[in-house]
Amino acid sequence: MKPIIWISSLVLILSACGTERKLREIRTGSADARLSLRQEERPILLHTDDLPQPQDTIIVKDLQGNDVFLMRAVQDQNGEMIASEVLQPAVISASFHNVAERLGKVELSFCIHVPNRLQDPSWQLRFFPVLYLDNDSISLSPVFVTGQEYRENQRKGYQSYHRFLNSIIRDSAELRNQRLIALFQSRKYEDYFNIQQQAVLSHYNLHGRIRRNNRRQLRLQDVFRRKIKDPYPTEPIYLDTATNSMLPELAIDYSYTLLTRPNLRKADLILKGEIWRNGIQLYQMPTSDPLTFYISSITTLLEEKCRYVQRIVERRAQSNSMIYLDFQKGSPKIDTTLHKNARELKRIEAKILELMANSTYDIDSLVITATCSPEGRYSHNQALAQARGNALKAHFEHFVAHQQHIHELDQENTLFVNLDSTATAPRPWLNHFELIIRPIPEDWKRLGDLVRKDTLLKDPQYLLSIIESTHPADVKERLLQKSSEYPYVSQVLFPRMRTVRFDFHLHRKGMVKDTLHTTEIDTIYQNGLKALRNRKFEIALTHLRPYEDYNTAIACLCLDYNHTARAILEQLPANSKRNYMLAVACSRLHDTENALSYLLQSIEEEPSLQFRGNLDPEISQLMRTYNLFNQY
Amino acid sequence: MQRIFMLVLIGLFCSLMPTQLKALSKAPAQDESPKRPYLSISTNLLALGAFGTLEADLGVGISHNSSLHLEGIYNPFSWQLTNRTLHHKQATIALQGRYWLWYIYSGWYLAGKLQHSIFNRGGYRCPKIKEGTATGGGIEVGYDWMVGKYTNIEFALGIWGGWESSKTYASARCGKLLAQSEKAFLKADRMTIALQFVF
Repeated sequence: MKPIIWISSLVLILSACGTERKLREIRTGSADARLSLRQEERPILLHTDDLPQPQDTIIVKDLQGNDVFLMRAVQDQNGEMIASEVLQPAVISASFHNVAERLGKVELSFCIHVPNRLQDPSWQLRFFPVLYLDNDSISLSPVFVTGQEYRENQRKGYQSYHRFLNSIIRDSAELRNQRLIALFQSRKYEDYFNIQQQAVLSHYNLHGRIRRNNRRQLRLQDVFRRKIKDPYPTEPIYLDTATNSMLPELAIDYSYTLLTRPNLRKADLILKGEIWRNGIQLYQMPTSDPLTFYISSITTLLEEKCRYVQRIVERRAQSNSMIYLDFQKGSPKIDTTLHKNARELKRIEAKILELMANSTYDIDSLVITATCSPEGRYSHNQALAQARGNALKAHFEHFVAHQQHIHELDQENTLFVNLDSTATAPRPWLNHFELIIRPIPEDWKRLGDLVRKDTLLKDPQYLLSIIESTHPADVKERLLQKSSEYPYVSQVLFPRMRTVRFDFHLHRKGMVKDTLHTTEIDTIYQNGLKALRNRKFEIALTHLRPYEDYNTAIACLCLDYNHTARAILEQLPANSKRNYMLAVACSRLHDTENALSYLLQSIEEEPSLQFRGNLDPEISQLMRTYNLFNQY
Repeated sequence: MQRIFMLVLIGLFCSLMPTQLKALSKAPAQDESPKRPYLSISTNLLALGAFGTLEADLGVGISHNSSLHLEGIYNPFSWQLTNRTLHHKQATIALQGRYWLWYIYSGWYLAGKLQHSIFNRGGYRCPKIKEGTATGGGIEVGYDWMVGKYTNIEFALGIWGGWESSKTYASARCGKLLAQSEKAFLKADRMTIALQFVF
């Protein structure tokens, strides 16, 4: 028994010493995890191991035991032999990479290298990549590399815990003596005595088992902590792999999709690491050197320009009013005492005054259409209508002249000032506008409309058949007079036909054309550009779509609407940027011939765009495939 | 005296039994569920091991947690050994009332009883026999373990005390009277493992 104890103790001590030495080596920095680009993204480098290792200097002992240095020698131009030494090549790997933002996302790919000396069966390595963007940082999902022994210990801990969990009774039926309950119920006591079912169940509870079960449930947390030293992670992790420490180096490829944000140009990636054993952190690795991703976007090629608002404004306008004027029978004279004539005339005079004083419009002409009712002969009504029209024209011409005279008198006696107290020219009134008379002697069409709308006529169809017939006006009137409803028509409908309609034909002051170009900045366009800069592509396209210009095409390309972008760009005049964007669109649409054509045209006009091509995968793919511009 | 006591016990049981049966078997009121008496018959299996003592118990439920029992113990047997006769004769009658902690014929109970016993026993180590009568009361605690719809195994322990009148003879047949006593007693009554039928 004693030898076994001695041997076991010795083994434990030796293993502990080995682990401690390993940790010491790691602490001194001889083994650390590092970041690099993914294999396919790295340039092909020569590993130093691949290069020939010439032995320039050999040390030998002479007969006296002294060291003799034999070095490689070359003969110079003077014939002398000179010692030479071939320097070992230094391999420099890039710590940055260009990535393109597409569809609002940036794909970041990198590799985590874990050297063999960092791996141990009883350890778990935890790596935490952190991405730094401007003023923000994003912690990516961690990567765990777990030794086999560590994993085995975890598994055993969980097994032991699950055994404990299984010993806890979940089914309440198992906490009662079901056999006795069944026997009790079979004796039909409840038929003869007042028995509560719950009392029966409670009586046959296995109290000891219940107490033991409760005690176990209370101890759950404590047992979990005791049996499981290091629980499986609950937060999402990228990878948790068990490793065989025989691997020379473990390389873990990692991909992360970053959602774009405004002004995103660079992202720095660093790696933090920890070593754990039995749920205890042994060591925290220093932060690795950063790996930088430079992010390019198509939006950097947008055109910063200002657009102004264009409006289409109609030069001409029209306004109309209608009044009802009563005339004495057979008289063309305007009698202001009749019915509501005075009020109606005042109404139209106010309208004329309003339009004359309007600052936006001038009056071109005023057309007065006077209509009469069909009573009497047509020829008489025709002359009467003309006479009434002339009377109205004379009345309003007098009115306008009078108002203009009053206005002139006011202007002579009044000083007009601006708000800043400077004198200003008085508002000019329209000196002249044309008054045109259009008399309608018997407006049978209007009578027909009145008959249709009237709800009190008993037989409107008969009346309409007369009104819409092709008989002469006088014949129609005689037929109407024979109708039983003629009194109603003559008393109610005929007065409504005696109307005067005023049509004002206006135009905008000082306007020659119909379309106005303003100096107002188009904020919708500016908002679209701002959204594009902030990488909010859907909003940008919503704003920019009506304009269908270069920036609209940029927004379409950002959203992968390649056909639409191509259609817009093809309509635009050719220039280097437009051709470059067309090359991008054609490349996406697999139209390689046109893509190359546009690309070459754009670079011919602006040679610097070939360097831009390295940042856009669509163009860089073309350049690589067809070996373009390989002098660089 | 003992006979009178025995008659009183039997009379008491017989008077109570029909009354109870009558009460339980009357037509139920409209708002009550139909009732029937819970009866039990049991026999103490352990007593058989006491020189073939026969025990029988007849019980009737009075309410959901009380019952009345009439016990009879009888052993007429003698066992002839080489130099003596062994007998453990007795005729015992007891009237027992039980209080059940749960429902009748299930689980624990406490019992009190009145008992009268005529005994003749001896020959265990020597030919002496003792015969007499004992009258008194006792208490018992027991447990009915339900094993089937109509079957129980009953376990019980009891003690009893009272007044004993006995004579001791030198032998079972024509033995000389050695002692005669009348005294109070308190002793273990019996230990029961009984097979019980409930219906």
